[in-house]
Amino acid sequence: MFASIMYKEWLKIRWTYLGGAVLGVFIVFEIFLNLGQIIEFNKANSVWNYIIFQKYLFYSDFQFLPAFIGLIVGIAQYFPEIQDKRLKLHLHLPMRENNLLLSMVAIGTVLLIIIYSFLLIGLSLVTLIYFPYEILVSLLNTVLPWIVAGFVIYFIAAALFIEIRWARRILIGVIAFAFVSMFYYYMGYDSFNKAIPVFTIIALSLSLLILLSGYRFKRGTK
Amino acid sequence: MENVVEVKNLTHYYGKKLVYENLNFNIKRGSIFGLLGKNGTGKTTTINILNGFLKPKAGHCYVFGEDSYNLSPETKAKVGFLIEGHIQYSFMNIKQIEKFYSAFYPKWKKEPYYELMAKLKVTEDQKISRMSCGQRSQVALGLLLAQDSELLILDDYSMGLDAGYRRLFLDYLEEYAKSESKTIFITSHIIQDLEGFLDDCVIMDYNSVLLSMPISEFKERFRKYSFNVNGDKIEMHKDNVVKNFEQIKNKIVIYSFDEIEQIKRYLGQKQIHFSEIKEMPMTLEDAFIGITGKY
Repeated sequence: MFASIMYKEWLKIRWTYLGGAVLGVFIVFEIFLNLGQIIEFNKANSVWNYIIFQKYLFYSDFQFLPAFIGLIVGIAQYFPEIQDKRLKLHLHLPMRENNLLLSMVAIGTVLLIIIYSFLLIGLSLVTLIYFPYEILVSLLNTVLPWIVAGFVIYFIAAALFIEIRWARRILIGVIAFAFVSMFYYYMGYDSFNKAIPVFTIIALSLSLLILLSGYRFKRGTK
Repeated sequence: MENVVEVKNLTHYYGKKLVYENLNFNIKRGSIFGLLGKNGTGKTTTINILNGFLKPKAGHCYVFGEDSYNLSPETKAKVGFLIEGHIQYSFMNIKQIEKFYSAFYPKWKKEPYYELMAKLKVTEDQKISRMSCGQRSQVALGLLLAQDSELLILDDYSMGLDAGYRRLFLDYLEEYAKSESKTIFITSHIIQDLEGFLDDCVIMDYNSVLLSMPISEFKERFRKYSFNVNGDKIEMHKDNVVKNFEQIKNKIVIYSFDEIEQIKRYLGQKQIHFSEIKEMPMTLEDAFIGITGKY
């Protein structure tokens, strides 16, 4: 049954997902080309100065990419479910409602993990071509909050679409916006090293928010 | 006979607006039950409660003996559900949707589905979103037949369908219900198609239930009489005898469960001077309009 749900979710999001992957590859490739150009036209110590002392993030174009992918995957997956209250079809399937809802989130989450891992590997390879391992570690620490923000936006999109009342949707949206903004508050290396475990736990707990929206959908749909 | 659905004192409000109060009915195994009423009388509300998509303000609804708000997966597997407007996963094509649903239902029979699909002039890779309303209704029906459920709940199957597709839909349902002793719960506001199809019915009005009885009894007992009165203004009201009435100038039409002699006595008691009283023939739709009114 889970495989069948996976099949349905994939049919819904596949083009959006692949579009997000292509965009991601394009941005990583652009970072690679820009970095090559900077290194070719500047002396090594000058590049080092920019990156270490002036905190130039050569991968800043990556910053909003995970959030954007999380958002479009969320829209592609959950918008069709609320059109004509199609979610009723899903909830009528012979499984427990909570399992049905969590299956959807789990499938989206796994697909995001795959795409984010794929892009991180690409970004890491680009980094290791030009820089030592320590810079890569710093990059991963800096990029991690952006990745977590991508998951947060995806989880919020799930809860927001399934929520039946606009007032609550707006409330969830405002709280989510404030929370996600924190992930982009500091620009610089390793800014979130201490906060990231807490943010990750909060982000993971948001994956359960769909159950609350699902409960309200089930209790009150007209 | 065992009841597949039991509705007891069901009451629901949207905010402060009463939908209905103390709705009661049972659906017997193997019967075809119609919940009839004009738009906005609470038919879809009842369907939502039956499928666990709405918690009623009061009362209970049991499906195969389980509280409908907490149906187990086993019970859900025994219930086929058609959403108003034949809503299905429109991003799938007819092959994909069959593959998707087949994994959930142990008694899945793909033959009736593909038999129905063969009659549609669509290709296997045509998305449901690119089909006409009539074709979509056949996809939804084919999936219900393939599911081979014990109880079919159909919310306004007639929505958006022309007469041919409505007939086709009911012909398949009738064949299915009669040959395999399935139970069907159907709502509709187009009544003429359901003549000869339903076993029992509940007719709903705004905020109340007008009647609950076997359809054959309703057709047999419910009558329409017309008579003339003199030029005086006649004051008529609905009551135990007169279920509804219409007056155009000096011609009056009343609807009642009583015989003509009782009606004559009733009019005499009310001191209404009438002439040319006669019983008028009615179709099921006439009877429905008679009891619910034209407005």
